[in-house]
Amino acid sequence: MYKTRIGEFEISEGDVVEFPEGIPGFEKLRKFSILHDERTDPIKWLVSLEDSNVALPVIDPWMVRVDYMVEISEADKKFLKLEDPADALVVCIVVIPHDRPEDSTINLLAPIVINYRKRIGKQVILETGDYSIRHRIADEMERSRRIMAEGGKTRAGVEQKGK
Amino acid sequence: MLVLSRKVNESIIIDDKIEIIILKIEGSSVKVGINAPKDVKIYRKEIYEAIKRENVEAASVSLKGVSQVFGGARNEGAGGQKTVRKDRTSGTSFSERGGT
Repeated sequence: MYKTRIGEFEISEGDVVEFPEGIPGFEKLRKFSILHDERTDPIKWLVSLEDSNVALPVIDPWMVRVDYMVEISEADKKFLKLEDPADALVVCIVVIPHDRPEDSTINLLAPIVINYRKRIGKQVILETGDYSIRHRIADEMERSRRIMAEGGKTRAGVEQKGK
Repeated sequence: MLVLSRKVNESIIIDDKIEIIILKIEGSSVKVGINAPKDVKIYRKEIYEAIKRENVEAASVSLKGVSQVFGGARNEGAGGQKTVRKDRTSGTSFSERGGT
């Protein structure tokens, strides 16, 4: 049983992910897990298993931006021991302003990539693509809806998603 | 800190594999070229700092705030949903989880 910021959870060893460098802002923390909480679905939580105060809301970026492209650099692949892109789980961190949840933003420049087979994780910085740290979710959803309505373009990043 | 003076087109080699070349100097801004192996990560420091700030801010959110991110759009179509969700938030201890 782990105590986290969003409650107590039963987390098996198989769901514990090691972040050898921590994540920026929380460099000393190593053990994290991604929790699904129906109260906040579709937002999940990247929770620290070492500091029960640390939990970051994350989301499947393709839910927000249908044509999101994740190109993992050679250095990061090496770091994550990622041999098969299908082993990568990608989520992005969401910032939710206290007074304006409708203006929530998603960090598409620096996704969290987890090699779920080897359970190693890292917040990588994408070198390709024109992404920034703050994309307003409502605007991205609107853009994605437009793209879906046009029909032609589909989930361009799907092979990187590892599903 | 090691401090070196360089002129335009002069370079610095680090560890025999990373070359930093001064390409252009214009007022207070310097254009730098970097030759490094593919597995060397290079960032502008302010990007790393910005990601750090963003993460810390993301972590300060309340559970209530998170449930409202998609709340607005959803409730347009389903009026009763908010009440149902509220009931669920009363429990603090539960063993539900998802690895992926």
